[in-house]
Amino acid sequence: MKEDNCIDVIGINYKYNGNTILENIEFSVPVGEYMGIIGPNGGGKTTLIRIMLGLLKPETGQVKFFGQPVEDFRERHLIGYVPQRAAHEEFYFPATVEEIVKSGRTSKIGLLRRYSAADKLAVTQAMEAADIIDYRKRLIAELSGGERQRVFIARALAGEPKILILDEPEVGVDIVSKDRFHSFLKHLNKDMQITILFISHDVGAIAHEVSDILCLNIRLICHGSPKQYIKEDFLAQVYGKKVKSIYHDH
Amino acid sequence: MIEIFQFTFMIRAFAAGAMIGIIAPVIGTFLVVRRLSRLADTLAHVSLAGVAIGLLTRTDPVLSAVLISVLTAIGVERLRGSRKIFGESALALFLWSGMAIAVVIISLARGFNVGLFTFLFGSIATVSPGDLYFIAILGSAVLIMVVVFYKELFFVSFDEELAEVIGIRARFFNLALMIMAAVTISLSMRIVGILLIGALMIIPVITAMQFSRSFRQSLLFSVVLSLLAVMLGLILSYYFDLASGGTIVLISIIIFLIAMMMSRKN
Repeated sequence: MKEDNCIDVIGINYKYNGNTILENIEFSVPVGEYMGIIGPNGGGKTTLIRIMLGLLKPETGQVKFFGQPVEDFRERHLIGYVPQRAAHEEFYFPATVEEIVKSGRTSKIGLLRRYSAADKLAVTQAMEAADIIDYRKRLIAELSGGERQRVFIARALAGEPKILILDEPEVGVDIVSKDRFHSFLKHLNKDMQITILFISHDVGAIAHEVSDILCLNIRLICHGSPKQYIKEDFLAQVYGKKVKSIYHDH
Repeated sequence: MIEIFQFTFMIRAFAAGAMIGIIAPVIGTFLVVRRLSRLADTLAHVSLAGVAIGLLTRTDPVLSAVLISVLTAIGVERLRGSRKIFGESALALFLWSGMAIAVVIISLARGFNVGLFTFLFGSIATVSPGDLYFIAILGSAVLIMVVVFYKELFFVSFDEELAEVIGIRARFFNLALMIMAAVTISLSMRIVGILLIGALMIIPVITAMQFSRSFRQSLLFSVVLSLLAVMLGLILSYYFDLASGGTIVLISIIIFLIAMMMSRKN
């Protein structure tokens, strides 16, 4: 375990109704990494993320953020999380884009404190970074899947996170929006030094984007450079049958 | 001074109505966006059991209704949080339990039918000075809680799971919302009645959502519409000798229908 890791996952095992969902998962995420987590549906990706975020308790093992066990980690605003359902769920919630993004500041501000001028500035900057400033007054229900995804990322950015965890963020996002989305994430990683964990079942979608890839199918099958592992025989091992990788041209 | 304000019972009814007209849609907004509209009905029916216990034991029925509905709110939240049964089923379970207890107690003690009738349908003549103080104190407490914890209640209502991730104590705020709903319902019984209080918490909110352009606007407009319905309802029920609860809710429904027609045109 190095000091410059922002996440350490140590020996995680998890069972549900007697079935093994995760088996001896162990890896670290260094500061500034852009990591892709791939694997088939049902391979345990979302369970792993939920354990990492402290939403599920593992049978054995531990997750640390900046060296502290997740259950004791208090600076939660440093973790930005965009859940899987964000873009494709129907929203009837009568809130504006600005209200949603502003809510991302709640944890950083803390209880019994009101929004200051600095908080308002951070919210505006988050909307600018996500390129949604022009529709700040629009209702969230009126947006497309891609636009909504950017709103949820802006909400995460408003808390000034050091880590951004995106669970299948491309589901429900059209191809044109995906291109913009990937360059936006690169900008967050390179220019804003935000460590990114991108979870996807679509290998081709992220193989060109990430600097490090982690293949998960109950066990950790590989961890390294995408070029090293995204080969047909290897993917067959991850997905259980022969798979052809199609690289998306972003 | 117009005739209606010459009677102190009417002034008390308007004062209580104003407080209820504000807190019911404020709490109702958080219930609607969380798809917990049926919670209001459940807590109202449980309040009936509280009223029956109060009338049977000759204690304050509003106080016993507050206590019973708060305990129920805690029970609903714990059962919902355990994920052992669906939230909707938990609500149904408590609703029937409340009704069953109320019916058994009512059948045990024949003789408080008139008192019970005023709680079921609302009556403008029954707000006592004690009720008014009680409504003012607890109603203010609910409003202060919402103002102080607005940003946390908003976040938990929008995304409960993410709230836990970023360190907002979602369970605590869920419970607080349930308790505030229970208190609001019990306080509103005198004016709107147990059977119709759910309507005052929900209808002005869904009306406001037809034309609101933000969450804050939804809150504000629902309060304005609710106050309008309560005040008009009280005036009409005084002049035409109508049950105040039904009159208030019918006005809310008329406003809702007008809003629906206008939003379709736009």
